Amino acid sequence: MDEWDPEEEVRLALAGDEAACTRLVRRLTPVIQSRVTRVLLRWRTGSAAGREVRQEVENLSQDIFLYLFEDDGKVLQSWEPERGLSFFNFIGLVAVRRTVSILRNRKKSPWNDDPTPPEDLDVVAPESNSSPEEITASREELERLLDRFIEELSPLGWHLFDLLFLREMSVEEVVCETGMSRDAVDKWKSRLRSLARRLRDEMSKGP
Amino acid sequence: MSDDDFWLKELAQVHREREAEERSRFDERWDRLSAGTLSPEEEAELKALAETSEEARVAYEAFRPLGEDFQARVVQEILKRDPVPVPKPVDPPPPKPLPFRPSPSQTFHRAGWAAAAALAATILVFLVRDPFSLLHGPASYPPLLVYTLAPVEGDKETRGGPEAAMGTPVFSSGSVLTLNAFPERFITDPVEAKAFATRGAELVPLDLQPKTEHGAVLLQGTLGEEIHLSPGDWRIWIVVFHPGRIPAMRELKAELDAGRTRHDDWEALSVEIRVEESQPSP
Repeated sequence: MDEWDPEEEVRLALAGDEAACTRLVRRLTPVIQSRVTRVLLRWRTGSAAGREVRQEVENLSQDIFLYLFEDDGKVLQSWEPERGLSFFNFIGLVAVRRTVSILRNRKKSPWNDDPTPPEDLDVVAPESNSSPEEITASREELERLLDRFIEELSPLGWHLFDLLFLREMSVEEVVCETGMSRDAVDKWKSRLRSLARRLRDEMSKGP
Repeated sequence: MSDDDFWLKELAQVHREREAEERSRFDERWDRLSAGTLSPEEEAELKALAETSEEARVAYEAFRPLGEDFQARVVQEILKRDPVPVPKPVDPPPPKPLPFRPSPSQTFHRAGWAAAAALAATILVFLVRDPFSLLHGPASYPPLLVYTLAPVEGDKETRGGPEAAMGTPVFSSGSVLTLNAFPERFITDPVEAKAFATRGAELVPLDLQPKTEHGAVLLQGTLGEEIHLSPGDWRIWIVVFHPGRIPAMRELKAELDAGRTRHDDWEALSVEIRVEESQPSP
């Protein structure tokens, strides 16, 4: 069985060991590329069929590698294995978050002549008895809210969101799963609620 | 449900739907295309798919492995940074010998004491490394040895009845709860342990977690101080497992509810106890 120790490999790569850096990049390229591609293809709208998506995947993937190593490898060193997130899932979450952030904050879309960049979608608050157009807009609002949420949450925050709301585990189950105290899990639940509330308020005020 | 929780659940639902939609558009073969681990047949399938639509063609280009040239460029960019000396994590000091001694207020049941003495004799006889650990590295464990839970001593025992079997140990605030679990023989493979309590569908993690030493497991704490359980009948569980090989809590509970307490990499042992309200001092 593979004995690879991600913490040791990160330590060596940050210290400038070229062989360790090469091994780390080789192992992480598929997961970063795959996550970047999935986000990019989801954001790709309109009829920019001639667009060179591969170049964009390369650029974004390289950006994410450099982001992982910047500030003395702050992001890489922030992975905590005991929190229950595997190293590859952690990197994948960072890749998704960073890609969403880049695409959302770009003043010019990579597809300049794209007729419907995501930022221009109208924001409509979800209401009951909505028309199909309003329901579609609500879904679009939720999608945008989700992208903002992903962008703002740390990998640990996303992991807690996954356990509490995607997998719908009870607080007690999350305590057992992560080894965190009940207080810490309750605080994360409050943070998630505050974040959702803040992002909704920001979006409803418009650009 | 609060408004905030409603939105969080909606976000979770959107995420699930998005993931499902994405997986139906681009299943896991596309991830393996990026990883270069497709079989020749799968690669041919995706290539054929790429010729059927513009979307698939673009996807094939995007997921196709970035290759060694890309990786080499990235490595060179990374190495332009100043190296960061990150200290190697220091191995924690070896644990102090566990105090496998009863507290002055406890007396061991004769059978439990005999089991402990037998294990001590086994340890003296088998003062060699487990041959399995010489052959297997830590990443490949032999099946976990069978564990036994030593009898648990309470302040007293129930007399039986509809709510608790006869002989259920009874505890109250201030009592020391001690659970000892032993493998069938001395081992050197690392094991970890987790403890929690259940009552029907209710699951309560314990603030105090077990300690392990050469495979033996000890959970010892005072009710009302390190261990907090409301009055009533509880089942205390200790799960012994190879490092990293314990299932997620939800799956584990499902296995235990189905009566499956033993696998190659983990074993769950349990004892029923009763926690009584403390009687006020006269």
